[in-house]
Amino acid sequence: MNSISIKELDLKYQDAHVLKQLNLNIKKGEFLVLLGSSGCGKSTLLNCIAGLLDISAGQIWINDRNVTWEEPKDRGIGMVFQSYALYPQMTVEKNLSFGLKVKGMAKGEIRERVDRASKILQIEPLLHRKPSELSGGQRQRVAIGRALVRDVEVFLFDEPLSNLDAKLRADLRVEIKRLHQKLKNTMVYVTHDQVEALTLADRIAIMKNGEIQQLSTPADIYHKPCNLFVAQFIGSPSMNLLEGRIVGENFVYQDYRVNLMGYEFINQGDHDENAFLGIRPEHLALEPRDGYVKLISAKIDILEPMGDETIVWFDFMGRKWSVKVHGDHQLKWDEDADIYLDPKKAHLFAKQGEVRL
Amino acid sequence: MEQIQLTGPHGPKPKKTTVSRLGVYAFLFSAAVFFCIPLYVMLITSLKGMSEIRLGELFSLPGDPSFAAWVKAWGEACSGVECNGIQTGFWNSVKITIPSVAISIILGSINGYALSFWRFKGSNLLFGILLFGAFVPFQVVIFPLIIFLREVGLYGSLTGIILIHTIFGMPIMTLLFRNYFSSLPDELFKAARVDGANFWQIFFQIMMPLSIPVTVVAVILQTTGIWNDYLLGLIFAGRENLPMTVQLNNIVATTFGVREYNVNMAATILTALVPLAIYLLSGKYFVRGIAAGAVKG
Repeated sequence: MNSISIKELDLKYQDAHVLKQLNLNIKKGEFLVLLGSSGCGKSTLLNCIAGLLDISAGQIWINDRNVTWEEPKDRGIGMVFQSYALYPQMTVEKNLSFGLKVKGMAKGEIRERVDRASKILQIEPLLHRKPSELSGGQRQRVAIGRALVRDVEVFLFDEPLSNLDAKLRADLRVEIKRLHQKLKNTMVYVTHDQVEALTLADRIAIMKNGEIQQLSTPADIYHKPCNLFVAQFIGSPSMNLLEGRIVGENFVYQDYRVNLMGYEFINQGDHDENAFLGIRPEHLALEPRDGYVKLISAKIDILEPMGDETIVWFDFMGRKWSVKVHGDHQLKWDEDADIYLDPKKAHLFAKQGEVRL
Repeated sequence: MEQIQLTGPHGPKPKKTTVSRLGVYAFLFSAAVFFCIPLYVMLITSLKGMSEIRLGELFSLPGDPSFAAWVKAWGEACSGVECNGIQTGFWNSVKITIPSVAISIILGSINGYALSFWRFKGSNLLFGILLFGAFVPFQVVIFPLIIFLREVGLYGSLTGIILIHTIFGMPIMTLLFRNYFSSLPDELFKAARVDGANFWQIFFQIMMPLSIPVTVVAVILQTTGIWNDYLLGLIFAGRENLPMTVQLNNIVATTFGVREYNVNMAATILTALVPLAIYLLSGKYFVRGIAAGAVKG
């Protein structure tokens, strides 16, 4: 059963086509993350779902009700914004109850709902403070509370953690996940942070130029990116790339030849075409391992120690390549190292159309 | 612990008084003096008696300071044939200024709010037209306005002059509030919409309480503007409601008997007292108001 259903959604401004014939079904209780770089239309899509933007064409269904022409308040949604958007002159309690009061709800019930939400979010001691007296994390918790008291099916998050510092972001991320497991609401979450997307989502929709590139589970998106854009977008550092040609069982790049034994092609059969070979830094090694084949030997350009792991950069035929190795590795700058590759973990994309092979 | 001796530059950089800095101060000081001298002359002249004024010693302090001229200016000075002092004008100005300021600010803030948050087709055009109003010289519209007010029967009435001030205040008030509301985060408005608040609920419960700083600026701008107005008051207010500025002119210009400089000075200071008080009470906001008017108007 679908909680949100977007059908042929189109949004145009005079000079820009922001969303292009977008179709998306979100299941009840699902945590869906809209991921993309700025300007890809992910926040716009969320605003369309919320009813804060007028659409050019298409339909939006929420809980099997066509809400395309309905006001935000009638759509059964709660929304959390990046800037928190708390009403500065009101106390936390008033912030939480404003929407209910506007609705004309009885005082007793407002009390009850505010109490329940503040208990869930552990903001009870803050109820009588103004937003200016709260820390960033507390503010965002109140903003979530404002969506919570509305007692709605669907939660919309618009980059809720982007204004917080790294540590707080990680903490609140876990809390949002916990909240979802507890409430089992449908949540749509917009972010440009791939870590947030991978950790929170049941499914991720990666967007680019107003179109969904891939809609899949985090594991699928990481292990089987459907095109070059998705492959390069997910993962840090980005996937290493080689441009060459598939000839039989080999990927040929100038004088180099990589045996593709074990790679799962989408279409079985013979391949003979120009292609990109991609491999994530964590799927390369600097020592021989089972199933790995030697790729090249190259000079270490830069070492980036990060404690538990070290990122080793190479200059490989004019491209920057990175390899993730264990932090204990004893490596020196300017030394030569052998790079080994696991063909099973490699990715092949057609030069034409840049789709996965 | 061992104290380390530092040689060479250390600690805060020493402040040096350069020649150019002194020059700047000298210029500012003389400019201040230039503007203060008339005020000084007015003040001491208003405290002198006529016999002392006739000595022609413009800058000397009064030998026997008295507020007699002030009392006369307030209650007995003659403008034309009436000798009630400038107080009638003061109260007329109060009656004109308070409603005009209030109404123009309320309407301007609603305009600004609607234009910055509730974008509708043609809202930018409407704003452009409204702004254009700020650049149309008074003189161009005075005659049509006289005819308009005459036709609706408001010419020469208190309501008429309040209406005129409201109209003339609209462009700058709308601009001021629109710019202020545009600087507020859009998400605040979106959050209120998701919460289900309507046009007026968002305005009165969310936006109005947030716009206190700009409202103070608006009050200052409008109060000084309307209080100091001469032309509109003279034309539209009618004989019964002439504002203080017009009456001041009448008192000073009355050539009947002795020209009482001390009374004229006192009346002038009394008239200027309201803008002066506003300036002194809200210096910081006043500067902001002028800046808003200058840069954005």
